[in-house]
Amino acid sequence: MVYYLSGLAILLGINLIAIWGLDLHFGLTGINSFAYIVFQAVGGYAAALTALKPPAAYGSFETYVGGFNLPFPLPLVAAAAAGALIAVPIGLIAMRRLRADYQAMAMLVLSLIATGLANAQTKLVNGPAGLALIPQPFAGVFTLSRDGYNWIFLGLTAVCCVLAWWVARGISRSPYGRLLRAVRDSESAVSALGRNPNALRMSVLITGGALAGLSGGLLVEYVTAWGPSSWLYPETFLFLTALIVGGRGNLAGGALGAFLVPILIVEATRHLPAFGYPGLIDSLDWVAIGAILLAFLWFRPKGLLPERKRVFRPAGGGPGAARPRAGLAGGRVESP
Amino acid sequence: MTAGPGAAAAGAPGTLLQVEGLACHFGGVRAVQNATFTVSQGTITGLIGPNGAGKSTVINLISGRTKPDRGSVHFDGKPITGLRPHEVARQGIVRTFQQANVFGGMTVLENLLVGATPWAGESLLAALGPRRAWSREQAGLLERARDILARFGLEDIADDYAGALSGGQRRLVELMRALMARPELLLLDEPMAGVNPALALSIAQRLEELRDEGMTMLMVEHELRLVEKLCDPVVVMAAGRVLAEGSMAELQANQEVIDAYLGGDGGH
Repeated sequence: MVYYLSGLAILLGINLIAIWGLDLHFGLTGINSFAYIVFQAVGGYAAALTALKPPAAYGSFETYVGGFNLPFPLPLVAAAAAGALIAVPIGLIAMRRLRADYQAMAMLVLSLIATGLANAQTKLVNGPAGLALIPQPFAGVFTLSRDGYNWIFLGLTAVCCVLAWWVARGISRSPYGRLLRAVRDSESAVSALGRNPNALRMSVLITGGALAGLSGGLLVEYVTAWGPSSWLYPETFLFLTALIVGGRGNLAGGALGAFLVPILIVEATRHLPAFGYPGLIDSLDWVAIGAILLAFLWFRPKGLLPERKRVFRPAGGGPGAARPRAGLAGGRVESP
Repeated sequence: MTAGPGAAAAGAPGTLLQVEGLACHFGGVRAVQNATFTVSQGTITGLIGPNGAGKSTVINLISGRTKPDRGSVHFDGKPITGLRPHEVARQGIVRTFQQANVFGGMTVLENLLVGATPWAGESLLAALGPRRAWSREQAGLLERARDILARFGLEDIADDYAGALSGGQRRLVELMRALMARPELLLLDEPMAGVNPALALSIAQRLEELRDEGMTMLMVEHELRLVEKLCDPVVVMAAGRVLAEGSMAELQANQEVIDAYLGGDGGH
């Protein structure tokens, strides 16, 4: 039980980092980041390929490039860096056209292509079978029980969560974050005021990509395996649903969504008494997630904890500190 | 692409913006053909003409939103033809839009803060650094924003979401936000459209004050009484061409202009 709960807490933390990263893309900047899972996937592979020993060390039972056997924390650093780097080609392809519907479609297609690529290239990341036996951080350093190791990993996850929180909060309260929200509301007005909306989008795609990469690295180091079936395109919509349910543009909203959707809904259904044919409950999970997404988009598009209104203290009330005030349900007036 | 020495030499003293031989088409429609005119420092230059005359397209061509097929635009003697919108804005030309274009999910004060440029604190690095790095600058800009709000008598809506405002108020927010950028040239695309007459008059007064302080404006407008009150000189366009350029009084005596636009009574 302790093992189960600490494992769940680790997954919550990993999802939290990913959802905060997605919030930078989607909530703050309004990018329809439908290839988001690819950032996490690439981070996962980067961590795996840097942590694994060369294929020969395992009797070549899996084939892949790399295998550098780097010690902690380098695989996680590589994961974040890979997530940031992959943002550049994804951004260049998906943001060639300004229209949001084009961007969404291009992102989705990129996600499908990435899955196809990982499946087809067996020499790259071992094809559809995926990578296994990925060394965990501090492996062999401590002699710990399974439970004990989980606590160590939970601590590591918590540190990464704090880091992600610090990045997301720094951005959301800063003038840079304000510009990103301006891009979300009106790109043409942003460029008429002398800023390049595409450069702003690219910078946030990279930052959010780094957080997704980090979450992928952590996930892979925790579960010690990673394959194309772990990051199919619907996983992006699991994160999106979490963000929309919890509240985009609000760190607490992302956290609430991270708890409610991937943990509460997906985990709770695992404890249902079995009914129907095997796999029915898993499929119903996705039906439920889709239905929740639609219900929120219809009835509460701003989520349970909506973005807060930024109200500045009156002149003379301090050195220009912006104190977000929790308005009634996110502000006195609703914008259309 | 840039015009030769002829164009630069043609810039009389006091010429801030020089548009020469500008042309552009959309499909088979020649939206603008060979448009040539100048905007002098410290004037509110009007740009009038019937619907479809190409006025807004000219604004889009100057501001970089549309790329011209031919012709050149010089600002303060420098070629700006074909620059992208944000590059044009950085030269000191800020525009407003025909449909008031505000950041609806942000408060009026936040809209104004985004207008201020350039900002040391708006980089990603500054966002990840300590708040001290930008809070002082922001305090100064907030003060300036509140001054502008006070000048327009709109302190009350400072913390309202811009998306919740009326159409007329949104136009004012857009104008105030443009002023935060301290532009040298303000391009106004029908700033009074959809604004009630009282508010339109008050906007007109603000624009006159700004002109008296030395700001230059190029303004597309349909309300001829306001054009007569505010704009000198006025450029008349019809069917993508510039018909005439001069004071409203001169234009009202110009038969070609009367036929094309003003009609018999010189106004509506």
